[in-house]
Amino acid sequence: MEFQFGMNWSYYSHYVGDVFGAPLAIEGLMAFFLEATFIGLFFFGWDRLKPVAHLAVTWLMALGANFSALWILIANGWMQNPVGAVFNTDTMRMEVVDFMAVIFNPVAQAKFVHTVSAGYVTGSVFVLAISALYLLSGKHVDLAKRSMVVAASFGLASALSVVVLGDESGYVATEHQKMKIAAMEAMYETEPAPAALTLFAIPGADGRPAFQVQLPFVLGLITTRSIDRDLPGITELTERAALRIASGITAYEALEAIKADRTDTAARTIFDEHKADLGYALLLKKYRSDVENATGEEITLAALDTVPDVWPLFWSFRLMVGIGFLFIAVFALWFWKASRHTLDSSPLLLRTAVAMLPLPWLAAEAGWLIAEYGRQPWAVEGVLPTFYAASGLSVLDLVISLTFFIALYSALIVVMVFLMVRVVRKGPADRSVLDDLTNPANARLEPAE
Amino acid sequence: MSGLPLDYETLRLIWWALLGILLIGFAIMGGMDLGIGTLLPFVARTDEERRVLLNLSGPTWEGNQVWLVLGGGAIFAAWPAIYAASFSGFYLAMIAILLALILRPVGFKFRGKVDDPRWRNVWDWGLFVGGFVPSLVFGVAVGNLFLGVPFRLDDIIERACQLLLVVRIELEEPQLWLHGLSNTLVLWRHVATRPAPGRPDVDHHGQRPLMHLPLQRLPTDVCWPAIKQPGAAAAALAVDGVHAIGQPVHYPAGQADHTIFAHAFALRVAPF
Repeated sequence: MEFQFGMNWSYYSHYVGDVFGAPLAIEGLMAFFLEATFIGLFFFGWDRLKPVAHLAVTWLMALGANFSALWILIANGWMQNPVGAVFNTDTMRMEVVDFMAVIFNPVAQAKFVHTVSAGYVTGSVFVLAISALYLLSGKHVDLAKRSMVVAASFGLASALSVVVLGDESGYVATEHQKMKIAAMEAMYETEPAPAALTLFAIPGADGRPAFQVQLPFVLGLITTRSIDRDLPGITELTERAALRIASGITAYEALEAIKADRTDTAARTIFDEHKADLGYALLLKKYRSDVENATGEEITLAALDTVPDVWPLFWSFRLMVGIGFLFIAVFALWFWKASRHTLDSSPLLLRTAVAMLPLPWLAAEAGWLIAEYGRQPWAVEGVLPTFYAASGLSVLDLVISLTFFIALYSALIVVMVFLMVRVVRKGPADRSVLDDLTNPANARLEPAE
Repeated sequence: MSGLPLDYETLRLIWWALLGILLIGFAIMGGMDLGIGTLLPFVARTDEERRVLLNLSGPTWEGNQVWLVLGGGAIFAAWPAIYAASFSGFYLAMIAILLALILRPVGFKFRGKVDDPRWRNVWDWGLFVGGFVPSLVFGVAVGNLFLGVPFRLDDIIERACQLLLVVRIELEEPQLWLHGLSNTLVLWRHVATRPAPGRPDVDHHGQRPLMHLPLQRLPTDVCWPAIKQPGAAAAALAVDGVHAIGQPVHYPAGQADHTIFAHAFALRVAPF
């Protein structure tokens, strides 16, 4: 991924690289080195390190993985809510003015907690499901029970964290985050505060909800943390976008004047007033190259482009939230069963736990879709449209790279699943699960045991 | 950033040094792992020999590879223009490197999981590709930079006052291939002369075949003519210390506009 920004998104890399490259480089320096160095010691150090040293190695490896998530989500959070950076008229790109604002971006911090907790939930569900499988087949019973206690308690805490400390705190931070909420809720018209949460809807012929079941007040309470603030609908947000595009055109014209005459202070004053909307003018590049001559019709079209696809977001959001609440219920149940020492009392429940295995991945993918597909048409919200961020590659280049990546990763996932199933079948007695490589030293120890 | 006690020239020097250290770090440490992968099917014949060879880098290859990851990140952070132009310009070469590098972790991790000669052989060849292809392409790419890289203004990139490097690995430039090959041979020798700790019985397979090659002469014979070419490198004009050689070829634009950013381009070129 680190290489992909330069390869496929070179204009993006240039235009916002001053902001975006820094957290990525820090991730490499701080997180990758920590994780990659200690993962070797983790796998190879079991027989060679003292228990305390090995525990320290384990903690440092986990710390590295979490730092990695932190820095990449600071980078991603900036794409959702570009704080701490301004456009520089001399270099014609975005540059950092306040790095602390980039780091403590509220969207980034919320995303970090949400995403890392989702990762913990995925791990917990995995341990729970495999342990349930062992209990069903009566193998490795002691280990399975101990694992389930850990998975249930840690999973309950993580599942609560995903939902309660979830993503919602950043949702009203910016204009497009509001658009994302409106799209997720298929909320075309602005609702009087506090807005209702739509549980279920059926799209009509015009793409708008024809029938819906709503919970009154809930959405307004969650998103605005108030009962009196409106949550704007898609129509209103589109109208606001049209105004910002018009303002962006002014900024664009002023920028051209500045370039023609660097001492033009009048143009600089105008530009400074409107520079926050420069990105909106770039939306018009899809329709014409001389943005300053855009017609009203083109402005309307560009404003409509700011609406992401409503229904994929609507259903992804419901899928993710539904699975999220299901996990809270399931982990609470297993936590209760663990404290009652009745973990293996119900084969039906055990089978349900096994069947849950794919759900965390499904929820995570749905969440990713909401975050990134919901960000469209922007690569960086209000700053750079996605179509304008790409490299000048040929279709053939992309066909070649995509073909090879899809083929390689498809083959690797088949191998991966094959190996996972094998390892699960063999169970924990097999030392090769612990030894990363076939270490001759360990291999020699094995038969003696 | 006026609060910083360092001026621009000092910072630039620090970053040049840092990037040099990172890439040299990768060449020395990651290079050894690439060399092990490349040599694996040839110098180690039995499974035990191959395991001994792999265990040379088993605990450390992951850490070693981070030098490369960080090298990429450092270029992105310090010189976004170079990063954007070179990574998209070297697109197919980069894809070849990435696809080959993906085979390395899975080769290392999956190989030992199944005790079957055919299975292990498949991953050994995966490790060979993962070692050979990147070292060859890195060599070719660096050779490209020494010789100068042809480039054109791209109708999209021009918005960014930036050059698109059009690097196709040029078959008519044998020096490039030699450079790539010498790169791989240097890495091989690096591995081949390193003894496996505590296992003198298997060492000689690793050393003998390559000691016959006149390796010491290769870097000078092959690299030096390349370095003597005028003009050091090839990337974006907006970056100090990198010069464009020859005239940029201006391709007529497609649908994209040039009005606003084309001027910025001219401004950045002016200091040269």
